[in-house]
Amino acid sequence: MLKLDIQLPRDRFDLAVNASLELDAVWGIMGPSGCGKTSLLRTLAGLEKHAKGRIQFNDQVWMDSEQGLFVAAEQRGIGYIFQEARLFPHLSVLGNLQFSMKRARSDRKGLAFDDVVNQLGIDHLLNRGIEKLSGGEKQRVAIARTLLNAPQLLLMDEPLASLDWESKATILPCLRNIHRDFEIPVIMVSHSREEVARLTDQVLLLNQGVVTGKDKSQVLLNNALAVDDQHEPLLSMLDTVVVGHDTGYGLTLIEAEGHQLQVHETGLELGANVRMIIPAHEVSIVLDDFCDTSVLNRLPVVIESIEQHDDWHQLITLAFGNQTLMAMVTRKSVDRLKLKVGVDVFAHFKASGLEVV
Amino acid sequence: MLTTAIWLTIKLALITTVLLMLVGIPLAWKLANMKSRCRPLIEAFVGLPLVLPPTVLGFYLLIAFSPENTLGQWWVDLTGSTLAFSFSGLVVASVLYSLPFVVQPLQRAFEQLDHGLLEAASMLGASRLDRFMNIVLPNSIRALLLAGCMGFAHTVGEFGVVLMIGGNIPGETQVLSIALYDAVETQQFDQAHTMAAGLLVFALMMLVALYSIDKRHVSGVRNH
Repeated sequence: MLKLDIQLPRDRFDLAVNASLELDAVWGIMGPSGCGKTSLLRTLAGLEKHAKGRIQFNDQVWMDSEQGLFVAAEQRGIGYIFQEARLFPHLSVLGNLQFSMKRARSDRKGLAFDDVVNQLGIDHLLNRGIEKLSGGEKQRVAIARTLLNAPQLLLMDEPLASLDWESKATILPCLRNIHRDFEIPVIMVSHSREEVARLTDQVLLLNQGVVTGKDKSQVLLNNALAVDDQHEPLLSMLDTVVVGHDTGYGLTLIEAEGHQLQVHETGLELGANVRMIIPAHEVSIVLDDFCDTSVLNRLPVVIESIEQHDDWHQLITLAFGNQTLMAMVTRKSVDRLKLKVGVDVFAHFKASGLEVV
Repeated sequence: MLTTAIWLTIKLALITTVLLMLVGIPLAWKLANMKSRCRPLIEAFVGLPLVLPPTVLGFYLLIAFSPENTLGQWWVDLTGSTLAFSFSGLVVASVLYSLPFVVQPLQRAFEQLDHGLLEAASMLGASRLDRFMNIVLPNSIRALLLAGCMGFAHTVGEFGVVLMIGGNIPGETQVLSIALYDAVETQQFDQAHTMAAGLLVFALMMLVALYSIDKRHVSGVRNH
């Protein structure tokens, strides 16, 4: 459990966050740029010396300004992955990793060097100098360096922001595995819906330095108004379970709320819990399900709300059992199909239009 | 006389350089990270020898070194001899005189150092001293080399301060620049030629070395 009640004066507005986070989940901190996400993370880490208030991590008090207590950053046992890799230029890749291992806290069980290096795929880089690495390689080395320090809490500040999509694709699964494989609580800052959808379980929303929401990622992401960022495509997330493989057609069968869905074949084991990400613009709405179509995934849903998205589009929130799905449709279609709240419809989306994390 | 002077000069420059680094590195780090309003004042004091006639510095040091004053008296109590007209006095004066040549390049390098690296190091559990020794210094290696060379070369080249506080005692305070002056005064032009040419060649070599350190630094930055 991480309990915070902190204040930090800033130029445009003050950061004032009062929250407690259960650390068995991966937490995302979201909000528009300049809302204080990074300041919050830096305050947690002990990098903001002017912060006031109280921070308690399990039974350790890291800051209590009333008591005049401030535990220095290097004594908090926190791993911090910065936006930039911040590798030490005078050391090789191996030198950077050794710098971290030498200073790992002895009371924490360290992670095995080989495990970390293999997981992040950097074994072939160990003897290289830092300046010869690509952006993605640098960030992977930085993540390995942080893990080898055996942190008791991992903070990540938009770790993928400065990377091209190819590097993102290799690092994302690694990040997802950190929490599961190394059992380290994770808090990450992000402004990208996709990152949050793929990586986090719980989200803290921040705006103008204060908390404006705190809930499961699915709930917050499905609530379009909670996170208003026009540039990011809207996404829905469904919690699903792998129930079978149809190798003849290259498909994996997954189940959600008693309904079967089909996605491109993955190597996932039967019974694995997976998260499906469905962009809202990939979902179309059908009034009756009699006609045959090439679309593989058809779910019976109920229209929960219809909101104006922009001049020509409307965002429809659909209840699917206990979960929520979003569909972006044109205003013309809404009028033509006479869609109204409470109406039973079907949501269609192609197998290629979704991702399993 | 010549070898004694050469040996004395090298000894003075070496001891001074070591002391300069010991004083200059922490001072430059302090200045580079100082936000207080005292900073320009301290910087001005450090930089004074750049603009002040060496005789002015020498004059005040001579007064300070006198056993009638606190510093001079303290030294006499401690060692039994006076600072003025002694090798130790020369070392003290040289450190003050060459301080800006060491502090300024170091301060510039420390100011340009990426503080993100220090934050990264503290998140890995490195203490202040640990960060300074293992991140700051290794990443300022060129500046350290530059500062050391500057301090050494500038100490070899000093004249006015030495003359004021050290006089001209062979084997004790008669460094090369003073010996050269003495040789000219006594019309020993052969010796004067040797010393002058020697100092010229030394200075030239030192500067070439310095500028190539600096060049490498510049091209290194460009490559990033």
